[in-house]
Amino acid sequence: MGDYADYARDNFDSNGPAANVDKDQKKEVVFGVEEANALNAVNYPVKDSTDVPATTPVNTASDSSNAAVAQGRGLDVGTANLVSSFQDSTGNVNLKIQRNAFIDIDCDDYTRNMLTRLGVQYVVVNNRMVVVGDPAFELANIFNRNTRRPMKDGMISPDETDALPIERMLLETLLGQPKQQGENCYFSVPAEPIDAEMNVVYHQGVFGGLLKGLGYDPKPLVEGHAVVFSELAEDDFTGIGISCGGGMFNVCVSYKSIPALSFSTTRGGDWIDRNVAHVLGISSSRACGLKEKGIDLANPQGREEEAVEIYYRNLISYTLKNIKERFESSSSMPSFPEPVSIVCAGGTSMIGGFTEVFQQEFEKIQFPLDIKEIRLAEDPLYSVSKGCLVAALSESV
Amino acid sequence: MSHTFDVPDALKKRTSTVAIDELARRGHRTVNVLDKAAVLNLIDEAVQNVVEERLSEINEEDRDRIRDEARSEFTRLVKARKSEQEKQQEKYEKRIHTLREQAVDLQEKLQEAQHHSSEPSSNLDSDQLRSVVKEALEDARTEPTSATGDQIEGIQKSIDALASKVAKGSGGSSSQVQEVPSEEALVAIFSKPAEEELENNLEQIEVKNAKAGGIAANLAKLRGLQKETE
Repeated sequence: MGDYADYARDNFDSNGPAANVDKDQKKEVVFGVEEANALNAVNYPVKDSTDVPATTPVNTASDSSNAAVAQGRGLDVGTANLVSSFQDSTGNVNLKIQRNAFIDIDCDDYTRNMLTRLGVQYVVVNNRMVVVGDPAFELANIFNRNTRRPMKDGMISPDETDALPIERMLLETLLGQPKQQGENCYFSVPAEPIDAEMNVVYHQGVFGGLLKGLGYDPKPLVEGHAVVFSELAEDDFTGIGISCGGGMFNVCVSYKSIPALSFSTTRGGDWIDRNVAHVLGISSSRACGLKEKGIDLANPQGREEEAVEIYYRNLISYTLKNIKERFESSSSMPSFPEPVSIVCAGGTSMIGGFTEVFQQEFEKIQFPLDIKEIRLAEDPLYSVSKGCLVAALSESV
Repeated sequence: MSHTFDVPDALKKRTSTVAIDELARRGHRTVNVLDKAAVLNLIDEAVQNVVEERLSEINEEDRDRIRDEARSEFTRLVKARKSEQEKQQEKYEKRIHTLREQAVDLQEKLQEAQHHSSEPSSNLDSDQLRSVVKEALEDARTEPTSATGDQIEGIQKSIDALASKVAKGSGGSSSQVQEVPSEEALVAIFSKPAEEELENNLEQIEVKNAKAGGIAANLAKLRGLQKETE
């Protein structure tokens, strides 16, 4: 997150918000020296490059090929990020993170070489060069366009025809080949949404198929349940896990690791981006950069930060009201003998002051359960992937 | 003032037709021929002469009366023409209103059809819609469109576009029922290897890595719980 946040801050400070941005702008992108320099400033790691010396990788983990790997993989299939995880011989969890976004640019030899030299990943689809991951966000900001997203509202996007081949390649890069054919891979899926008519079967089937194609034995795990596995061990996996994602908020109420109630709401970080972009007259990608540059929701500074704070508060309030309504109307809600914890995870929960605003909005409603504490996950961005990994490893001998 | 005199008709009524042979038998060697146009011209000339002579003779009072009668006749004619135009305009507006309502109705049906496109039993009857559209278009074509032709043309185009959309949209849903495939079927479909290898540099670039705290405690606890439940 740090790389992009730094870049976005610099870019935003120097360029300012773009007024009157056309929603459907589709300018042809020409990749020039300025853009190359901007990307180079981020220092993406390059492997096996003979032309230029490899730059220092960001947060490089130990070489996974040398470490003995326990059987089982975790994969967070998020609207905003894809995060894979495995456990090495030392017991540490190794993660690979990729922005689940791309942008297409003109395809020519110069751009092809330049991108590789800069450590920017690309795939050529239908004679267009598709830049994937974090650099797609940077390019989108440079050209004041929006990134294209393989997923929308927590599920595979029906609007993106190029999404599947790109997702297939991204998964291959993140997971690699299985240690042995049929290795367990738990992947996160959204629970049934309560505020929209959406069917998760297709989404689940697509990712299950892609993982199976890579040689894994795919097993879906509801996002909120993954948060419980990752964050509520000390409470005997009893409590409420909330995954605050880009497309959705996923909620799971668990009793001793068994999910009693799971559901999702279809508002997340992207909803905030869209609304902030609308009121400030900037692109959603730039609004996302603004959101991630290090705002403190408890103390917003200026018009832009206030816009972010307003929509965050609204989103949290909306989610809590939905949770309350669902709890009150559900017949399968367990009655907990003791107060339980609420743990929030996911990229959308990482903004400064999230827990404070959550607490404030929580106090405004009569919540139907006794709550011991409201806290953030230890590693909010990795929590779902780690939860999937726990589920996968718990099945391996 | 409304009295008119049909000169050609009067001529026809007051003349008789005699065959040339009959005239010869009566001993006529030559005849004087006066064609209808010449007669009309003569009458026009005679009337004009009389009117001019009379106008020079009429007094102030008659002149005012004639002027008033002319004005009132003119006003009557204007009103009659205006009323006719208003009726026509009203007719066009009604037609436009009806066509607009049909367009809105079709738009709603289209949206409904799109919304329920995945449902096996769609309420959309494409044949009915097509016949409504066809009827509306036929009606629009048979009516005079000189005064508001552009508007009707625009609405026709809009209905045509909608009809085309409806035809395309409803074709699939009405002719074949799409069942959502099972998850197993989807897994089988998407697990097939890609048809063609896409050019990429993903292998050459290191993905961002991170390390997180261990999960040994979580695993131990979960396995313990699993044993308990066994």
